[in-house]
Amino acid sequence: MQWRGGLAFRVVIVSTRNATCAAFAERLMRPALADYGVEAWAIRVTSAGLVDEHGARIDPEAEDMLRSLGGNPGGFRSRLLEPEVVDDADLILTMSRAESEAVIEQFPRARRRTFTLVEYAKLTGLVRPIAPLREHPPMLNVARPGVELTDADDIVSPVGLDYAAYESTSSAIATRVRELAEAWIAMAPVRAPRRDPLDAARLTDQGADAEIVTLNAFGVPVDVRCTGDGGRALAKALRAAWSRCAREPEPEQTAGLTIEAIVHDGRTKVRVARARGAIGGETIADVMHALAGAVTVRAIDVRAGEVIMLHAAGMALSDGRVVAFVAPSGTGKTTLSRTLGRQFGYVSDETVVIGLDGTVTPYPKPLSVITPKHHHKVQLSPDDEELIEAPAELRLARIVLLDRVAEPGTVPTIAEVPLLEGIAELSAQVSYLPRLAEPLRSLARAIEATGGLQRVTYSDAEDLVRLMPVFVGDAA
Amino acid sequence: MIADADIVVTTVDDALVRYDHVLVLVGSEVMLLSPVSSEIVRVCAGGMSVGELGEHLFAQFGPPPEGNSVPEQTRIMVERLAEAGVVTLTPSDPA
Repeated sequence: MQWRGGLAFRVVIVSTRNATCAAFAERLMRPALADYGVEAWAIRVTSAGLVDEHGARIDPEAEDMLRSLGGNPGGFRSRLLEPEVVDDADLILTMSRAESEAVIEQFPRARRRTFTLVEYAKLTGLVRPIAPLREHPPMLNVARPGVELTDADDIVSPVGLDYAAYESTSSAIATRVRELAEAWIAMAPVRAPRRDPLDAARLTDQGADAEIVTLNAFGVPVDVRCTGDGGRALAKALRAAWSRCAREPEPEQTAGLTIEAIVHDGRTKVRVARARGAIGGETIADVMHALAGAVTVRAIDVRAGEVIMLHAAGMALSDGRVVAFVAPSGTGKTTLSRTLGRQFGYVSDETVVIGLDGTVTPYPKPLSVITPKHHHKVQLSPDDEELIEAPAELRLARIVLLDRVAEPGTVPTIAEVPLLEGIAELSAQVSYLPRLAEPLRSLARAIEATGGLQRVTYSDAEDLVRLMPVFVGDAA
Repeated sequence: MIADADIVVTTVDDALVRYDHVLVLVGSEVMLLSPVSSEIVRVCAGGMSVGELGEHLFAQFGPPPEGNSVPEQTRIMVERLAEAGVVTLTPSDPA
């Protein structure tokens, strides 16, 4: 396999006047990402305005605020939001709903990629997608109805107002910018780093003990070099939670990669480690959470174009037939995995990987579970959860779209989904679809070979246990 | 302003046809097209002038809805598809 590396995530921040809020947010986001070791090419942040200011410099008040927060206004010149800027953006972030509406009115094609800054930060916190960053906007677009925005969520331009207004706006922007930077770092694209012992050694803390845990992420060997004060404890926790992914893939099977993970009980050390690209945190739970995203997304980057990768939970019957349950993040895949995985083979709670010949590569990663105690997902070992191991040979038997409804006691129903409508819906949940040879036809072949797409409407995952034979065509 | 002689060319990255509908991939966006848009994508694969396209659509689907003339409706459709990146428009050669 030839890895071309991850694709850059291109963000354009828009405000009515570029030289105020958008410029401020742009120049604050860049150092925030750099602090986390994200290279400028990987997440490319620019800004634009809805009115033409002919290359204006950043507003003096915004410049003062920016400097006080560590941003650099140097070299900034405003620009107009033009069609080529829109076409080149994966994500357009505005300050207010009115500005989003103005962007969409002018560029209807950008509808699915245009959000307010607060809206996108809220959706990211709600959905917590684990996917290449380029795929987040369409995934979060689907989740929009779950976030209600009020006037208070619009960031008001402080132009013409007093110093306090500038402070308030700056603070609102800075908070959201940092939230997003933190959510993005683990999933930021990287240039094809090789699984090279020398390279890995260079990454490691000088003189620090490093323990390597090798994971098999759907055929991609990932060396996680655990370092720092808590390195050994991290390695132990990693081996326990990722116990089902600990097998070494065939040596010639694939390119691999190395990730440095570091646990330090001190912010400065963590910051230094992050600045050189390590996944760092003060607690093991923090690092385990970030690693789940980093391992998954980087392995997706490696296998782009070779296989169909669905954001789906996978369950296998004892003969190896797999049902892939597709749903947007945060809408029931993990609950389904915990429930069905005690009756059927656990294939994955997050990514079902399908070869063009219909074979399925398992990814029995830890279950990522949201708990009230933690501010992010906790990684639970499938062994501890007593999930059944999937058979060695796996084959896709059906793709099912999940439609979980809130009303308890809903009798589950299954409906056939017409192919084209189904693929249109499914496409937001397929990683790197455009990189496949004949993308739509490849997807259609996989679906048609398994009898077509189905949609199941349900409220309780327990009800799906008895429907497994129906999904694979063993029962009416 | 779109002229009758302008050439419409389909520019999708992949397409899937089932009966009278076409599903297209443009960049990373997947769109399911209406039967009329699907027909435009199909017949403009090798390029067709706006005028000829209008005549073709009239022959296939009859008069347009909402009282628009055939040329008006064709321009509206082409403009929408061009905005979505499904087709491109090449201005006619004045010579």
